[in-house]
Amino acid sequence: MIMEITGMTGDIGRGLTAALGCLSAAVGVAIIGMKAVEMVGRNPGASGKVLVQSILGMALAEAIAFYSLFLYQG
Amino acid sequence: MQNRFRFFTAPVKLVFRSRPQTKKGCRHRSTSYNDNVAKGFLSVLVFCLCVTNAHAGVAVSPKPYVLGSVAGFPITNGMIYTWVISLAIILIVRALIRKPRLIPTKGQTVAETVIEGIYNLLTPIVGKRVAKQAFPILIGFFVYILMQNWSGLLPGVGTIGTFKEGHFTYFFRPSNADLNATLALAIVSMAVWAWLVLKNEGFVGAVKHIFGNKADRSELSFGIYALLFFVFLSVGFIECISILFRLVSLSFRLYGNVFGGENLINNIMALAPWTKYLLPVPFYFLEILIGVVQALVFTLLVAVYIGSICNHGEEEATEGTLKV
Amino acid sequence: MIGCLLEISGNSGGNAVTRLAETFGVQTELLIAQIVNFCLVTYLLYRFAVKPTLKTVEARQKKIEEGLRFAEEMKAKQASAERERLEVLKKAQADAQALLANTKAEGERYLAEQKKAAEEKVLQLTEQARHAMEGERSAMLKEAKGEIVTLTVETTERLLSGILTDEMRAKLNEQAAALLAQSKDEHGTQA
Repeated sequence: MIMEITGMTGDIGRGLTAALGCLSAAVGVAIIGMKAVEMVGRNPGASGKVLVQSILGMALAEAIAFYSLFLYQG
Repeated sequence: MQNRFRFFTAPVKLVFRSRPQTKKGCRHRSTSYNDNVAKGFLSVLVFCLCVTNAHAGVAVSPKPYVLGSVAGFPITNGMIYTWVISLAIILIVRALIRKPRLIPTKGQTVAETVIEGIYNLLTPIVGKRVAKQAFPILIGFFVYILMQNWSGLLPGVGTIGTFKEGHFTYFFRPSNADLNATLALAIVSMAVWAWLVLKNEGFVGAVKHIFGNKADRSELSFGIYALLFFVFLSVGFIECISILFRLVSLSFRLYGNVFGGENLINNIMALAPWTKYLLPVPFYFLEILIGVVQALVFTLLVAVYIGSICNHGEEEATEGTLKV
Repeated sequence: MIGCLLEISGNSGGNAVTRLAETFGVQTELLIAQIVNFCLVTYLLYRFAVKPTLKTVEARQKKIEEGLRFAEEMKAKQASAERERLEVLKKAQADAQALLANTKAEGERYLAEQKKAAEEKVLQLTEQARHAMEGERSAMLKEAKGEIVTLTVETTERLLSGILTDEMRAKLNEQAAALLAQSKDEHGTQA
């Protein structure tokens, strides 16, 4: 219906999937980064361990964005 | 203060400085050499920019172009660049290390720092016992992915090519922007994972690790313990799916980052006519950072996958059961 | 591999997988080529770069450890040598002190002995001298007495020979001899 009104073409489902996926990935990465900074602030000695863990977590969260971008084919 | 701009002004200076020297006639040979270098440099630069100009704005295709075939084997631009960079990796590392000496050269120090750093990073994750077996492939992953990621930022990648049927076909495509390459890496990593798990735990041990009841029998009554057995069995099936999905997650994460980076730089260049030269610079730095981080992430994830089954008891397990 | 993707994609079947593969240009030949390429690079990297480097690092580590241990040993050895030297020095000092004290005592004792001996000798000598002097004096006195006596006797004889008769002389002689004997006795007891 929206497409008819605005005259836009394309796949809304695909766009929504990509948008929500990227949003969730961004939120996930943000939370992990926030917590990592907090932890390093509290315990500066553990910065190396926290770095590894947070990079891993960020990569896992970020992967959601790629799934939603690439794996959904409309 | 002047030194700061030398990098940018160097090619210009070369051109202008060479003129009066040729008039004087002194140092004729070196001048002509300088002249040639400058001309070559500038022509490559202009060529790259022209090509970029022609290419910018067109979204990067998600798949590599097939340029030709040798005996039925398709040769794509991604494959060509993969070979080029693979050769470069071997030559560069070889040149860095040469013959290792007790008193290290500068290059050897660099290589040692990287190798030891990665080793120290991975040992607590994989476990001391398995680290020795897993390290060769893990350091290979890191160096290979790092170099292939960075290689996408070199000038000429995605810009040198021909127009075929009115559509630009370039010769060099960064290896990791080709799903074949990342999927190959994922397959190799999972094969190594399976081999290491079977070697260190055995088939029975691996099955027990995935499906087995991890509850403490002494703390629970028999009924709850038996009930938990079914819970852990179903968790094991979910874990199996997650293990299979690692292939997809590993390959698509790397592919998405590198391909996304290519797209990003391409689109930033096409944003507006006047942004073409300066605006992409910060994004190049971003891509350098992402190249390191993704190489590290791939290596670390494979290490965590290996460690999640093979590493127990020696050190504290970093990730009990890591779901993707 | 394709099978894995198949399983993941679930019920929609091979259709989605082939579509994905088509979109991203995944081909089995290329996949195999990439796998072979990566394995080759990794093997060469490990065989000719990482392994020798790790070996060198290990060798260096060992050498450093050895050097440190050697230094430590040398330090300990030096310390013990120093301690020994000090001990020897101390002992020698103590010995010397003892020897000195001993010698001093000996010397004092010797001195005292010598002194005593000398004193004794001196005493002896003075005694002797006194004896000798006394003897000489008494002898001299005796002689002088005798001489005086004889002189007196001779003088008296000569004086009396003209006056005295033989009878009287004999009588006198007798009396004189008796007197003499008496005085001699007195003298003897006195001595």
